[in-house]
Amino acid sequence: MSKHLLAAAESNQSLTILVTGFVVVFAVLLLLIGIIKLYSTIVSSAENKAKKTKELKLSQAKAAPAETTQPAVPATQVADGGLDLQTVAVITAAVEAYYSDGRKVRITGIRRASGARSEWATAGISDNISMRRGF
Amino acid sequence: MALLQGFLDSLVGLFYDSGLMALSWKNYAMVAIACFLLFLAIKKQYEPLLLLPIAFGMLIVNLYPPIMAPPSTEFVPVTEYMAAHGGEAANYATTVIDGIAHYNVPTNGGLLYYLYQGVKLGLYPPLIFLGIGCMTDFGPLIANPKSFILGAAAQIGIFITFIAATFIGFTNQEAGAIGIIGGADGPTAIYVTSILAPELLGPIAVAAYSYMALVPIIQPPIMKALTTKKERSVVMQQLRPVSKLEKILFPIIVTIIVALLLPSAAPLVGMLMLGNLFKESGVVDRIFKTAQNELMNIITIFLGTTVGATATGEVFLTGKTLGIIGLGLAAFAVGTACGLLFGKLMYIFTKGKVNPLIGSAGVSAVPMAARVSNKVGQEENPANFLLMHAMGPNVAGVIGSAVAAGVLISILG
Repeated sequence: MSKHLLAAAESNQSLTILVTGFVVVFAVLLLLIGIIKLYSTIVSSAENKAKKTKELKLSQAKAAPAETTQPAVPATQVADGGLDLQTVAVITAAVEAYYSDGRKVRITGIRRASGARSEWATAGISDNISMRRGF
Repeated sequence: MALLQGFLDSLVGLFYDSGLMALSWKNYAMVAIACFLLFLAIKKQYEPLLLLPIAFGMLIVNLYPPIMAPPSTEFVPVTEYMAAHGGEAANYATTVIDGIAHYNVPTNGGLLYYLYQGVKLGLYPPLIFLGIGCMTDFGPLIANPKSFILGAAAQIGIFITFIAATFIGFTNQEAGAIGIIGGADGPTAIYVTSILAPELLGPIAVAAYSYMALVPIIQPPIMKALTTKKERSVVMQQLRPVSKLEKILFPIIVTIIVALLLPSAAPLVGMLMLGNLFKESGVVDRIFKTAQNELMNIITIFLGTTVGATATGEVFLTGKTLGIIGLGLAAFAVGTACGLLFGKLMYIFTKGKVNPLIGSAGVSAVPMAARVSNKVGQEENPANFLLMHAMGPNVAGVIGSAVAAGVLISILG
């Protein structure tokens, strides 16, 4: 083969590689775009569906006790303020256990501690706790 | 007197054995280049994690070439061997030279020769990709899959440089290895070169990592030249949040697609995606940490040092190296320009919702190229944060350059 023919064949192959490279890289990445879009749509619709089902179940669970607001016989006795007596007994026992010197404890009232802690404060506390767990 | 003569003979022997007698001017020139690269790595902090071991490998191989020598066979006369071993014969094969029987005594190769086998066999780059996968968040790419277009566009530089290299006189294999510098991805460049043109490994690795380190200098002038002030000021919409399930499915799907369509890219893309699956699955914390820290660091040491050790004076100080350095720069510049031009197209098609600056991040060089996009964007509007938008094309560029590598290997390999 003459020198010119050889050079022509080589440049022909180079151009083939150039075109193949362009086409294959774009084709594969465009295919990936399509597939990602497809599966993202499927995943997000599936997740939305699951979320809706969960919300529906939650709202049904909330609605259920409302239907039986006035039971014929209350399942548990309720103390002032809405806490059932079993919970009051548990809290009393916990306080008595805390004062382990045998002193008599009389619970006159139970009040929920302020829940006004900010998200950052909560995150800081949980971070602190998890850090200490590692020691 | 005899003692003094023996001492002087020993000194003369040591002098003849020393590098002062054995080395050529090319070795000394390479020592100077290695010292300059060490300066860049340590003082200027140009990609020090790789440039430092590369430069040191270059330094040591030019001072002590046998450190990279392959195992060989030494022919020792049988009588001489037996005299040195208390008259005992050995089980070595014999060869008769000039009527005298010689044992074929095998000698071990140099330290770096054995470590280099990981490069030669194409083991290290995919293992580095495993670690990179562990450190990569594909979230921005999943949130905006169109980024893949920019990642693909920036690979055009590889193929244009390939053509330019063949015109200059490089063989197709060499041109393919040079073109891949435009992928701005060190492990991919080393992987392709080790298969297509292993003799060019030193110059190509040095060029690839040097240009990656110089991304903040090379890219901004091109970015400013090809975009208008208005385009650079575009503030992009916030990306949607990506669910955990999408992130877990991504590496699995990409591996299936790429390995099926382009098997030669499977080692690189597969390991990248395996690392990413370690990260996103959240169930293999120990392996994930090892892959992105200890394993990656060990491989980086071996890869950098041995690739540097291929740059001996005879290989490096040739006209080809100058060609590689020039073409590598062209590959980077063309890749950046093509990414930007496609970014401009997206700007037009989306009626000004895409900032074209994110296109230049498609050349990989993670995360440096994305940071440069962000920085240039902030020069026009300090409140504009393009980083997460640029990370999409940036990580798409990693996949794109691995796919381009697969194309080159399957055609030229």
